Amino acid sequence: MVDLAPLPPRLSPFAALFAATANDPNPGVTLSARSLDQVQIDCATDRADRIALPLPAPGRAVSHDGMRLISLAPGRWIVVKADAPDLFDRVRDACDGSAAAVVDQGHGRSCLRLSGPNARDLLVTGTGIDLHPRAFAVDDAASTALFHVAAILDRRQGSATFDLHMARSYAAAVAERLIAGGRQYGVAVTS
Amino acid sequence: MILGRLKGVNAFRLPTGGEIDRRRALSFSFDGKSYTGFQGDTLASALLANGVTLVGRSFKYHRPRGIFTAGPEEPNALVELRQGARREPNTRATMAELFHGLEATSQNRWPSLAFDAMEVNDLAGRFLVAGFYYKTFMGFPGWHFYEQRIRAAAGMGRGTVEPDPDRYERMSAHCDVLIVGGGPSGLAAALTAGRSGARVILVEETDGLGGRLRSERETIAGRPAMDWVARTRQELDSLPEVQTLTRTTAFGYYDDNMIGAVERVADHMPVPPDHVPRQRLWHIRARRVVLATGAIERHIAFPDNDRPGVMLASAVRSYINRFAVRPGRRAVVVANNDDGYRTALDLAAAGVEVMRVVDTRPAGTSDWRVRCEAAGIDIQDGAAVTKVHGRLAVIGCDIAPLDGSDRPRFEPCDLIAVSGGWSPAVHLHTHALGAIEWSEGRAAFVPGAARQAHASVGAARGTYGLASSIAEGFEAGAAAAEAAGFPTASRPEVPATDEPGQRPIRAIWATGDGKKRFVDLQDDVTVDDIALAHREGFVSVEHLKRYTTLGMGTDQGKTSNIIGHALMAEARGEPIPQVGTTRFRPPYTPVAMGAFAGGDRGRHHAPVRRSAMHDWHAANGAVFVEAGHWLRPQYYLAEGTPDGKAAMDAAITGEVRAVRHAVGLVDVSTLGKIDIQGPDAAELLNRLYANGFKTLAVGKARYGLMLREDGIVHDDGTTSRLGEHHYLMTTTTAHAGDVMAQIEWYLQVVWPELDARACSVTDQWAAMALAGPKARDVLAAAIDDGTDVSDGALPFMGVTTARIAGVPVRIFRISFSGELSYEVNAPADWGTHVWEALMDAGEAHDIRPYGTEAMGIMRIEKGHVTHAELDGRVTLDDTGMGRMASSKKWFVGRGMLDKPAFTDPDRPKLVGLVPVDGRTRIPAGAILVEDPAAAVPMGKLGHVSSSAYLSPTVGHPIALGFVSGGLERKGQTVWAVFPLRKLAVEVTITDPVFVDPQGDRLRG
Amino acid sequence: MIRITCPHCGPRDQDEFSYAGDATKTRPADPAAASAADWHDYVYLRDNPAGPHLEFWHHVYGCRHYVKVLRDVTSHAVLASGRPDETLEAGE
Repeated sequence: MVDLAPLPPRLSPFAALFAATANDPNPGVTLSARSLDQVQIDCATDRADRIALPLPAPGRAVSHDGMRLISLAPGRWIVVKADAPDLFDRVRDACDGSAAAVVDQGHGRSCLRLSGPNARDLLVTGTGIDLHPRAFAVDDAASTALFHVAAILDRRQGSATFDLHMARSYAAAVAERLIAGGRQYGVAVTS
Repeated sequence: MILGRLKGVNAFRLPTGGEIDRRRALSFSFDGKSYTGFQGDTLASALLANGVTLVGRSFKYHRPRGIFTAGPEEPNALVELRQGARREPNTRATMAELFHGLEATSQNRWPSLAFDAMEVNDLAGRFLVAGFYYKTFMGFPGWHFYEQRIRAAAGMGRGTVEPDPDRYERMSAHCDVLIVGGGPSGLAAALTAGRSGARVILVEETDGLGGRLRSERETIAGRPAMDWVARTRQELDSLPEVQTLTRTTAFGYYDDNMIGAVERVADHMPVPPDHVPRQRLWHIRARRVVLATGAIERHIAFPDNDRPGVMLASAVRSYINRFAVRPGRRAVVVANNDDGYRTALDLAAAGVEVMRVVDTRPAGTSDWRVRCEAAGIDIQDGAAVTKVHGRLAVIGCDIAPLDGSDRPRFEPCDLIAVSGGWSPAVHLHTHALGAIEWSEGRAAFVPGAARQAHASVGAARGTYGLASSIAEGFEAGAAAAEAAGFPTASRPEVPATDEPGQRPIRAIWATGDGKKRFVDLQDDVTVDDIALAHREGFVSVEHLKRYTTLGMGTDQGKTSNIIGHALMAEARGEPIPQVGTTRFRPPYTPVAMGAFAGGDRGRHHAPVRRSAMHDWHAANGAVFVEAGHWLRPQYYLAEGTPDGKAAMDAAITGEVRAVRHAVGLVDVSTLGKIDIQGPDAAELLNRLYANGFKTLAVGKARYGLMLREDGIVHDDGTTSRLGEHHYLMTTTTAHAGDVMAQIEWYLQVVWPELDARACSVTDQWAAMALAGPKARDVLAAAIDDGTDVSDGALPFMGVTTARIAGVPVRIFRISFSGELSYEVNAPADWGTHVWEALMDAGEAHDIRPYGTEAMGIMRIEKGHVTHAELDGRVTLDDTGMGRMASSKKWFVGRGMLDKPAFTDPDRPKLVGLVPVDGRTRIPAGAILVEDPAAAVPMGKLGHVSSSAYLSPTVGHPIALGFVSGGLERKGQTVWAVFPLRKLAVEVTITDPVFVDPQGDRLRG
Repeated sequence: MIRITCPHCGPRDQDEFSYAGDATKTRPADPAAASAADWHDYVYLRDNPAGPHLEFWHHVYGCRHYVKVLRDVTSHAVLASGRPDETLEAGE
């Protein structure tokens, strides 16, 4: 057995953009890059009960054992967790062998957390769905278009905190739009 | 030119009253001359306060024009605002809020406003009547020569040609109740809807709430009506779910209860504050809509009714009461309803001498009239204006009894206030396909049945009384909230108002006679034009509109349409509802294109897609090219090399040579990647691809071609078997999205019984192809877990996993360039680490990164097809790959393969092309013909699909194309012609594979 | 812009969907047994009714499922929507 080099640190798609962004001292909106592991579960809907995870209903997300499970479509979920190299194996084991297709998307989708008093004002410049708390409450989730890019919106605990999961290749472009639009409220970014 | 008036600082400003802030003076300029106005003015009110009444020239006849209204319906006072990149033509002076330093310029005049050379059009008016274009220039030789000049003479303002420096933003909003209009009925609706707890949005076009109450001397509960407005606003602001948007015009009512609105965030400022958008475009989804859009006053078409100084009566009251401006010193008021009396009283109160109220109705009485009489104002019944004196400004008018019982009598005046009654603003109601009905009592069209979830209230419904408007608002707001699921308490009590009794309107549309009785002031449509249209048979309102241009200006005929339609009804001898009216279309008022574009402009015109190695490419000299949404390195320039044609050619040549002779590395992350799993995955692939996939072994890749249902080639790519029930499909960059959608279509709709799941993993993997004779050496050196990549362990079309720089990667031995090549896939966040590791390992062999140009040249050298060949028109046989189609199975598209068009022997087929002279470039897209000198239209043999204008390997330009008969013509010469660029190149037809036809290199 | 109710995601703007064709057409179940005329009919022939029409829309920006929609093409009114295998009838 040869000595393997350790896994290098991950390069976020937001790295260059955030490094070049000056933070407002009093931000109305904050963008935080989140480096997550992510596994996608895909199965026939009648097999979902064979999966040993608390899978949320369509339009919903749930926190469980340090993981966040988000429904994307009937029979399709993502499970995300920070710093969890064992996440893929854990989910695959929970999926009872061949019950579901389990796909690593940890690098396929990038996550940005949007928070602050103007987070919703900023999001509605890019998406047509109703984000009012009456329509999109904590633990509600939606797959929708954000600045013409497919995105998963997950409303987290807190007055206005949203996790956005977007295809990695588009993530920086969406972040650029959010920063440009957020400047009127004051914007800050954290890597 | 002095306009016959005293010039001075705000000589026409009233000492007290109005909404203006006299402590905040604002300087501005009009046609280069400086003036002063106050905070709260519009450009129109500030001009009037300074005695400026001539502000523009008319569209066709270049007649002098003044300020006609005080609102969005303004047909005359259109000016250019601002300078440079922010110059905006055709803005309504009546809606432009004054700011310090505002620069406005009159338009459509030359050389100056007071002396306009094109005013000869007015004298030539008898030649420029309705239908002038059609009659004069139909079939006229050289029409385009004249068209340019006529359009210049009849132009509007000048737009800027510079890029718009401002930001625009699109906002999406949802609410239970949307209320359009912040006048008394809209405020009342907002109050009851808001109190229910429903989510309410109230949009108001102007800068403040109150609507007509800002311009009238009404009282509510014994106090000025604006006190009630202020109290109501205070309560609305305290309700957390009520959002009030001022300076916001709801311009269109669209399908499924969506209202488009534009918010003018910063148009009242010299420039927008940093980072703040100039305007926001709102898409509002409402469950219920209350239309409280008010009504628009109309005029009466009397001779020369367009002279500066003729003004709508409601505008006169606005200028007096809201802006504290006297719009004249001596006024004549002419009306067919009691608003004439109301206006006369306001004029008198403002110190304007009211010469006479001319009531077109026969003698009668009302509370309003009694008040007028008590104020000592002269009233003449049953009379009309028959002539206006003055050209650049009104100096008087002739008044005569309608029955001809007396001769016209001159009345000196500089202001003629006219009211022809009100038209409810049914625009949004009709956008939503709501019906309209003629109300004889109001002499107006009023809203009928709604098609979507909306109701009209107040003046928009033809309810002109204040108390009744408020009552309707209370009711409609509550009803809308309840319909949206929010129970409401009992209706609030309607406050007491002081409303004198009125006598009903008696419609009259035109008086006097003469050529220049204007119906549509913006389009210079006269009473005579309507009559002419009628005589010539254009009697339907839709024909009338197009023949005369009635209502086709930027104001969409807000003040004029009904007059024109009523005159047509008179001419036809039919009632107005039978003649009908044209349908209003969005937008209600003009909307800047920038607002529609929002943030989707410039670099963000479409979302930008970047590979995981993008920043490395940028730091290492890459020149990027757009490929769909992707940005891809086109070629790499050495540090310090300026870009240019020669530098580009040198870079591309160097990149191709590196790959052909040593090794190169290219980013292929853009290829589509689809993960397919399940017991039926193999069956799915076997149905999707034209060639067989059931025999593909684990650890192997296979090239596949898929067709559309109509038998045309859809896409190609390699698919690898990663496990027993696990495959990875790749697609071309261009078709990644639609191949994924097709697979979803078959799995969800056509073959739901197949036990297979597919998902896109394009973004999960950064992909790079290491190609060239030294590729294996470099790969082996980069691998750090000892994985064997020798030809025996990893043969052509083999697949394995390994670690490079600590990163777990997948390695596919496949080739697009025709060289020994490995495609390495790494999890995207580590893509750059793996890329750098390969570049480091290749340093000993002078590895070069290469871009899409070198890649494209090498695939053309190899005769590999891509989307340029697979363009949605070609069959497998056309590409020379017909043999690949399996005869042992059924696959998508097979059902169409035998159709006669596909088996026609003359179909163009894939060939190679080289220039006969060995050096001339063959333009891609050129048409292949036998003889470029033949008379057009000449027969077409095919076309050039891809061109390598330089091929470092072959030594001269080469191309791929499709030619009728295909390789049967091998060795023949034809011509590649490109008539738009006047190019014709003689080319020889060759094999499409120019390099290594046996494939020894890639198997090496 | 119309709104389409996705059976999985709820009502969404039309621009989240891409039109995916006539839902009254059924692909020949046994392709080998289908005649040239059957394929011609499936691939090329479409009715163009003025009024309610069954269509597929692909919820590309949402759940990526195909949705069957009954839409009045003269008014744009979406009369019903559901999964691809559902039978749709007009009515709220």
